[in-house]
Amino acid sequence: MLRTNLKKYREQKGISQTEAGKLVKVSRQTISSIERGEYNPSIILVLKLAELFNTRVEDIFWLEENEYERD
Amino acid sequence: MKEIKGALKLFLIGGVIGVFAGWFVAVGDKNLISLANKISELLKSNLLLLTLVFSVICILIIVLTFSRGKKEFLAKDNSGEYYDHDSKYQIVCSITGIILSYGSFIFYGWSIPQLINVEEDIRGFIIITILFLINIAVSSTYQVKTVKLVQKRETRLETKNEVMSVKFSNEYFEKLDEAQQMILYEASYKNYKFTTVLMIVAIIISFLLNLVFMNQNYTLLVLGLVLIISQIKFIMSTYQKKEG
Repeated sequence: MLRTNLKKYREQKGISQTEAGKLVKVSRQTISSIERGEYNPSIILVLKLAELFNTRVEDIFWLEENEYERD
Repeated sequence: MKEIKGALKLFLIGGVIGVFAGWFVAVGDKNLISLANKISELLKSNLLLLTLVFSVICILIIVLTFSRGKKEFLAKDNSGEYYDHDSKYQIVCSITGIILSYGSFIFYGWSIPQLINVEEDIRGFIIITILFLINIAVSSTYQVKTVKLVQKRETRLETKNEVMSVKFSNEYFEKLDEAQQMILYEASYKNYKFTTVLMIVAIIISFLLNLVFMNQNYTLLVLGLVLIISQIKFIMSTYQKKEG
């Protein structure tokens, strides 16, 4: 399962879900779904989000421990 | 093992239907045919009333649910953001719109052969035609209103083409983001699987209805119902997905 810190990074930057959505060209609902762990974003969106928050992808998204080993 | 069980189940259902159909063709049942004819006559003689009741109920539901849903759909939380969930009224309104538009086509298509050959029924023919046009106008108007409501909340989804334009659905789909497109893809796949089974059931039901009523008109009804059920299933799938 994909885990995320997106909400933390967004709040640190002080932007709303709508603003974050506008900056990476997705809807507010999509940002909200990613934050709640309901939607696994595409690689392109993940890279855009990492760029937006000026950090590495793995700081915002990571697999639950040993997820890749179980698969 | 699961596949074998599924195939066995289908084989058994097919067998039961085959036995019933065989018995009916071989032995026949005058009482059943007489009952079927009575139902058919009852439907024919109350066609105008049925169409009127159907239209009024659907239009009332659409108008009331749309006006209530509009407020809920555009409501904002404390931070001034729109709520994530869609209004349940919106779903009811969309589903009723589908029932009204496709239902009108079914009623109209089914009524014409019954009314057109009878000269005295020219009045009935005109009333049914007017009702049909009103129903299509109402369902189209509310379909446009619903899309405009969504576009008002999500300005990203504004389109150059009008809602009734042929190019609209393609343009609208391209404007959706990846998560929204994924919801539609998943709902489409679920709907494809569901409709495949539904079509098999529909063929069997049409076959049995034709056998009982000795009238091909019922195939049109079954086909229309398949279309309505499959569309409702699609809307429900997208809604359930959004609900998480």
